[in-house]
Amino acid sequence: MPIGGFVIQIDAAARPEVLAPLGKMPEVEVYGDDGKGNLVAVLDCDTSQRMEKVVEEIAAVGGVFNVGLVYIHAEDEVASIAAGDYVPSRRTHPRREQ
Amino acid sequence: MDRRDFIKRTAALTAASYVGINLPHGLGNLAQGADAETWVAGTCRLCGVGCRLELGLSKGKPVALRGIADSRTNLGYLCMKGTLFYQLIGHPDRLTQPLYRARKDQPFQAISWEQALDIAAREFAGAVKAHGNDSVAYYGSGQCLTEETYLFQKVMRGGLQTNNVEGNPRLCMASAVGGYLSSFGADEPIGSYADIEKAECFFLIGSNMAEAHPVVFRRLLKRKRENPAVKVINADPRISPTSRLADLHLQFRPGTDLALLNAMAWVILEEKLHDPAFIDDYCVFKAGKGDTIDLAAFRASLDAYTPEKTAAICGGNITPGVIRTAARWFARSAGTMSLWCMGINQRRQGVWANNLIHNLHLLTGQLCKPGADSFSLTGQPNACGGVREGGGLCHILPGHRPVVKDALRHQVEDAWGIPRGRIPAKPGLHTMAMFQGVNEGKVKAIWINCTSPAQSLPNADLYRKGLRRDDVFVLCTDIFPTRTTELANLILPTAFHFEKTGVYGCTERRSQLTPKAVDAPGQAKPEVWIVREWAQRLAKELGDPVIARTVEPFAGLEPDAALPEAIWNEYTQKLTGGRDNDLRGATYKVLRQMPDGVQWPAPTEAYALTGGTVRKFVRGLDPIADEEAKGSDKPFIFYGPAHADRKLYIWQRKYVGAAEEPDQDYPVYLSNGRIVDHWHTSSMTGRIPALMRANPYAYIEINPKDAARLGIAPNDMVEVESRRGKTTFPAKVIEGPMEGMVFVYWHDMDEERMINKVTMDAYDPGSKEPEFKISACRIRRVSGPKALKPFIVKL
Repeated sequence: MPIGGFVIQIDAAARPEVLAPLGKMPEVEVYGDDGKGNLVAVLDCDTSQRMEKVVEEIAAVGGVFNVGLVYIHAEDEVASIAAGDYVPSRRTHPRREQ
Repeated sequence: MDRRDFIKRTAALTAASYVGINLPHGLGNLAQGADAETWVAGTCRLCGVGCRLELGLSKGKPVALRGIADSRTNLGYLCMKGTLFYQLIGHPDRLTQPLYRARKDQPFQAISWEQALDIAAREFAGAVKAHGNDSVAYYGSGQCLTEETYLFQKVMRGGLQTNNVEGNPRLCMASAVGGYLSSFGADEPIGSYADIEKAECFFLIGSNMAEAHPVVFRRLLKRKRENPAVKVINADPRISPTSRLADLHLQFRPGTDLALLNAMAWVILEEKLHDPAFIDDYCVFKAGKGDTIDLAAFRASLDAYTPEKTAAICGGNITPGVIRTAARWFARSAGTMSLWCMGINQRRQGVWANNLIHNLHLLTGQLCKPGADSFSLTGQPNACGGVREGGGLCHILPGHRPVVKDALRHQVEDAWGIPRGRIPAKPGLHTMAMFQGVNEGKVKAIWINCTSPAQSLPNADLYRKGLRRDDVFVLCTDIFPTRTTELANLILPTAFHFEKTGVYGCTERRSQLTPKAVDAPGQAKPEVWIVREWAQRLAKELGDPVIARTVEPFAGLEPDAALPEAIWNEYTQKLTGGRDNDLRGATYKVLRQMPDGVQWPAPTEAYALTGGTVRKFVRGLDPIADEEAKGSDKPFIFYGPAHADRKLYIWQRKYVGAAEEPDQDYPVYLSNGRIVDHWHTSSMTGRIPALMRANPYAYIEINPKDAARLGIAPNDMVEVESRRGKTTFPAKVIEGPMEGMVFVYWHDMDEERMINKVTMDAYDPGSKEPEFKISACRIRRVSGPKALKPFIVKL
């Protein structure tokens, strides 16, 4: 279950319009902002795939310019890879002979 | 507060620190105890930007990566690739033991390192005995550590007496090298990323940096957002994600940018926007192969490129008005920074295109001052440090020394303690000639290190034929199976980033140390150990003590820290003194204290501890410029080794189109490039699930007008065919490429979607860099949408 720290760059004049929809996203916590258009947010998602989706949803909010990931923690995902519980990629095409 | 809350607050604090926000709740104290037990400083592995980061370890296992707010390269930002590459450490697909097969139609057998090194030595020695020294070759990578590239080329040149030393930067940066050397007399940019925060105008040409260099792009984004008056010009036949930042997008017919750049120069002179004092003090005009001409002759040569004539050549949205606007913005700003990459370099006239960008800076004096630079972006993390500086191309020895210069070659031989004359005076085979040599059976043994030419060479099928030959011994060192390991006889598993120690030198002349933090999986080894052990066996096979001498200084050193440090010391202390890339001050001791690394020139440790040289050639900022000033009253001293007259050259270069222009049979321009989530041939990023899910396969971008004309709907399967081959992709119908042009992402390793089966292998006559970016093709709809799956090569 990855946790990501993000800087969301927004139109400072549209702060209320941006914060309203973000507040309705259950996996998003906004920790603060600088009044110049930089929001600090944390995403706590079940999977990294879900995190990608949430990032897309944030990016689609009017007044959002950029959603920048600056920190990610995925210890349990690494542990599941190491344990063989989670295989990150798999062969999907038949082997081609030389 | 549970552990998850600790981690979340750490994430918030890390993000907040980048933008200088003080968060409530006293999180600063809490964060100190949170999450990873140890953080190890190093750099990113997945592009040329050189982002500083830290790998977090918990119980000795990698669990996180984070940016560092005061970083001089990335200001703490990381992209998705850079944030996730720790997943490749311990990945189940990693190569973990040597694999061998005598014939390429046989299955691989696991063998011991002893057996593997014996085979490698026997095969290379056998080729030398039977076919001569130039029947063997090394093909490396801009992702190898400097220590690795340096040691490989030392053994090849000084030991095996061949300059057949190449690397994949030939495919991406060679034209930039040629441009810098011929215009400025010195390779690599004069300025730094720090100029971004000072620039008033950005000229982005031939670069989709939003995807290829996302962190540097974020610095531009920040600059523009905080200073809306800053102008951004984006010149590209395709509207890319980078274009969203532009105030002015110049969309021209592929290949006509040489005319466009000449037209901007014409406007600059016509409207007297040039800087006569800068030109008089520092520049000369050149034509042909170096004939000196005067300003009047140069100006007259530009009359073929008036805005009106050029608009007709360029097509697209280019009008006389936009050319004039671009030239005025470029010339009048307090500081103009040009940034470019493969769209300029991967061209038959790549060196000339580089020259013409430099011309604009030289005419206007937009150089050597804050915010002004002619700045070539680099594609790989160590194309500059390892390959360009460390001797990784067939014509360059360590320390930017041309092979053909006897005195410089002898300096290297003396430093290595080998007889003069041991290094051949003639450059070796450049990349395209090397693989042509493989095709022809002239190269009998080739060592391919950390790269996949079977996928990344243009016209790839032609060169895969050669690699399949059973009379050519192919040795691959890598961390994962690739399209090239499929063609190997011997695969040697190597350590990955943070599993070994060494230096990367990024785009802005910055060398940064990444130490070993975790053990490599299975029997994987650092390359420096592999080369040393191989060379010792090679010496015995060939009965040549000089080969042994090339690795003698490193005998017995443990490979994780002492060995790379000894190699780095030899290279920097013996071979960079007196050269423009003086790295003598950047010792491991200093680099360990300087997580941001050191920018050369940095002749002493005391100077290196300041961070080194932010802007070359400027007195007061560059110690070599100060030393070389010799009574000059001028602020800039252009001491570049390639121009004995210490002048900057403004080149007369005419517009020449692409090697293959569209015609009746192949009426469409084809271009290609990177997508943000994948790196090169996706052998690494394709194994990171979040990245693969984001872009599971390549697709073709088609202009809506072309799509309508050809009856292509979104997601239809479209065949792309050139004179060299064909591939099939799902269609994305988008106002991206201009009408008459298609664009394909090149990372996909699926046999049906490898675009380099189609691309053009004509190359620049100077830099020998191929024209990946422009070729002629035809496209047709072959079916409606089809279910596709991602593909990664496995053993």
